[in-house]
Amino acid sequence: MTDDSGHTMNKAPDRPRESMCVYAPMDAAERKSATAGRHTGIQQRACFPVRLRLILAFAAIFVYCAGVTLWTIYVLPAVHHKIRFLELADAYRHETAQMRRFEKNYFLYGTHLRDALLHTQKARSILSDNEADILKVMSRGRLTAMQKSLASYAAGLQKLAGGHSPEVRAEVQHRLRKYGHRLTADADAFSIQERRALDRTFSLLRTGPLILLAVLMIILFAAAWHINRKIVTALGRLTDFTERIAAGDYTRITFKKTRRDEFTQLATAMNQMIDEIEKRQEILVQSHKIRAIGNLVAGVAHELNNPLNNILLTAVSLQENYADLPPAEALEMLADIVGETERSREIVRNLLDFARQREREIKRLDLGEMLGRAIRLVSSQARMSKIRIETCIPDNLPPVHSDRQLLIQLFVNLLLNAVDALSQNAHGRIAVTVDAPTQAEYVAVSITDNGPGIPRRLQDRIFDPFFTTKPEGRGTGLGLSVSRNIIEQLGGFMRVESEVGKGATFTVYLPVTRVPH
Amino acid sequence: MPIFVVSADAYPIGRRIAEKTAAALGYRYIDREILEGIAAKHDIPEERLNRLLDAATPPAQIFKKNWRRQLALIQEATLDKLLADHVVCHGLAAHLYVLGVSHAIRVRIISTTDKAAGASQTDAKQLEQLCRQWSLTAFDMDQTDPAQYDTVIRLAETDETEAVRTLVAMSADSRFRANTFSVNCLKDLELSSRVRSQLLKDYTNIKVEAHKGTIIVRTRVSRRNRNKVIEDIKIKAGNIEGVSFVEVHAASGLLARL
Amino acid sequence: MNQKLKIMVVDDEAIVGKRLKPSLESSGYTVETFGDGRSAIARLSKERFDIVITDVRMDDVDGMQILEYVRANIPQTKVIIITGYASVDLARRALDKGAFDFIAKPFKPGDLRTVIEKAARAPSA
Ligand SMILES: Nc1ncnc2c1ncn2[C@@H]1O[C@H](COP(=O)(O)OP(=O)(O)OP(=O)(O)O)[C@@H](O)[C@H]1O
Ligand SMILES: [Mg+2]
Repeated sequence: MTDDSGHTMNKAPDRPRESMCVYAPMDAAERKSATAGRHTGIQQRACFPVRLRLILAFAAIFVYCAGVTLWTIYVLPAVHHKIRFLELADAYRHETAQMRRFEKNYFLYGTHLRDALLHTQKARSILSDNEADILKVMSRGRLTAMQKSLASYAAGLQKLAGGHSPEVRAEVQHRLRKYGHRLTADADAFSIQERRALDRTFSLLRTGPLILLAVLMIILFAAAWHINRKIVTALGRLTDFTERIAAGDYTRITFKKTRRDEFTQLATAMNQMIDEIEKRQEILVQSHKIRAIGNLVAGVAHELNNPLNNILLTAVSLQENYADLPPAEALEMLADIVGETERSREIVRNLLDFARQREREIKRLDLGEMLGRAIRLVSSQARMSKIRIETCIPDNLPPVHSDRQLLIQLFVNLLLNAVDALSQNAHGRIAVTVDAPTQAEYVAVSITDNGPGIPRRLQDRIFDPFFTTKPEGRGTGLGLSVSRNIIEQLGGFMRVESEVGKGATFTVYLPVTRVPH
Repeated sequence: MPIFVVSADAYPIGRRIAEKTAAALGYRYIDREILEGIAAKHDIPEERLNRLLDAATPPAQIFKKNWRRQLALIQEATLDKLLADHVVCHGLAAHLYVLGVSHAIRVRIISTTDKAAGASQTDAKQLEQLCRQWSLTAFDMDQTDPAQYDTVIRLAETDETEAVRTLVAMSADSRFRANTFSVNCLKDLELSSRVRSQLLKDYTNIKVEAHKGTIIVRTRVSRRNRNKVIEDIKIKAGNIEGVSFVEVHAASGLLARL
Repeated sequence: MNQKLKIMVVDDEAIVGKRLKPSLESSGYTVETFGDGRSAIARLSKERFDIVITDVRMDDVDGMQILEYVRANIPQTKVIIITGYASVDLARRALDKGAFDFIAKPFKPGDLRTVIEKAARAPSA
């Protein structure tokens, strides 16, 4: 039945519905209620749009970078001050060292004190001129202490330079030593301590950026991961979804997200778009049906001529021979008239039933009966082209769920195509067979003709809307596209097999309704 | 035997060929001469009827008041003449209303060619466009569509004598023999045109179909007048000779189609 | 008419034969009716008929085949086609194959009688 040469027109029946975590397909039954409730329900959820997320992520990165920059702005002047201070400290140490050297020379070799005094003056002016810079690094108490000891030292030197009594000299010498020693020790200690601090700051400046880079990377990774999760996967799902629509699956998107965002808005818009597509398609189905009815009417009008002729002949005979007819014969004629009138009504009724516009109503239908009606509808058309329609429809077919007219329209389209294909054929035959394996999920209805067939390269295209090989005015090319649409609405699919010159078989697979026990 | 319904894109050429064919076969020839009788009978200037049939007249001049009825009168008179067998008909737009008659041989003569002397190609195109427009407006058909005809003769490929010979040969083709069915079809057309031209006196939008004596009239009316109009049409049509039963389909509303 | 015309009526609609037979017989013709093309042709091969009146659309052997048979084997017999599926195309095809006349259903017995009289008068092809 479905060998490999058969062309699959729709997804295979065994293809599992992809499970979706964000947007999951619904069953047809759920669809209506979801359509109604969807627009209100989703709007009530908290709104956390992707835009806000992006803004937050970028704001976090900005705050972090700003913090790092501020820190550097804060650290660099401190370094600058320290370096400046170290320079001062070095100069100061140099002056004190010089001053001690001249002091020592004075005691050892009795040289003059002028140079020592000069350097003391220089050291004092370093401290006083750069007070502001020094205070940035050192406390005022310490500075004053240093200034004090420097002043005392200077005072000692002055004293030496004045009087020269040996005891004074010894006493001053002792004091000078003490202050001098404290001064150099202070200066050394201080510059060493500051140098260490500077080294620490430098090493922090070296490793700091690496740490900052690492932290930035972590933040970026987190943001990227979040964006990927929220946006890329959502987009991927929407892409899947559009592909599904293209394949004719009009299941709506449902929302499993707890919050609203741009994607739920997009999904809502897409659902609206599907509503619109379905509305359009319904119009297409209707207008193609009207065309099909136009075709069928031509056949029916001709078919009516036979019972009408019988009625006319009988009525005229009755009229002409009214006087001499035996009552039994007259009665028989009247019975013929009644019978043929009913036959006419039957011919018209089937078409009217099909033509009447009704609300769509999905219900349990007897497939055999529906096929019978479809065949009945095209039978006069077929008879005109001298086509035989053979049927092999077993009893006890499983029930299918569908709208009555849609199902009939589907079969009528396929049968009319077969009739058209056979119009040039002297021994046209159409076989309608139903195959319903007891356990299968699908019942297969095949409509086979022995017409010219369809070349392989056209087998994809015949289902396209407006593809037709018939002359203008004869075919719209919408028949198969509408039929496929109907089948998909019913959850089934269609295949075509054809060999040029031998004919074509269109097989419709309809899902069987199983009644749960 | 058949009747010929000849249509040509250039009137004088069509007329020449049709007339010669009629003479060769000994058929009756009808053309715009019958307009004189119609004009006299219905008190319409003959000039007006002539212009009405001429595709080259600007549309504004053609589709004036009463043009439908005037066309219907031409149609009625022509069909009446065609009921007699052995006729060649030309110049009366018969190819636009003699439809579905198996013994009517519908002939299209195309004389303007790409290299036609005198008229430039754009002129020819323009003329064809006018022809199409005219037939679409007046009869809702495209007279330039070759699929409408049983035979299309291109004078670029044959000459006039050859064309006449072809038509004479066609008359002997048994496919085009008059038969009960086709004669009845023609009678139906004649009756319906008669009813239509009668009704067009009082109504503007009328379509009529006839099957033996049964007449189906389609018209558009306002809802208010509906019943009155239907009654009126039934009486008026019922009084016409040959009508035994009248059915009226009156469509109301803006979007109703006839 | 020196001799009774023999007429065959073929139509798978039984009522056609049933009504036409008495109607035509009352006009002085001999009438035989058949409900299918096959038995009609079998009968034609044995018996000479002046006029064959046949429906077109019949299962198995149809009116066109009867027409072809008659034209090929008994050309002096005239064939009148009656059909509910009348169209310009079908009419022209039937006439092309040599039918004497083509009548669309529904028709009155009187219409048919006129055609039969015409056929009786016409010279045989
Ligand atoms: N049974 C068949 N045998 C051969 N070709 C077929 C058959 N069924 C369909 N086709 C091809 O497929 C084309 C498309 O069919 P479809 O029913 O979509 O449009 P259509 O029949 O041309 O127009 P419409 O249905 O409006 O009359 C046809 O034109 C025809 O070429
Ligand atoms: Mg189709």
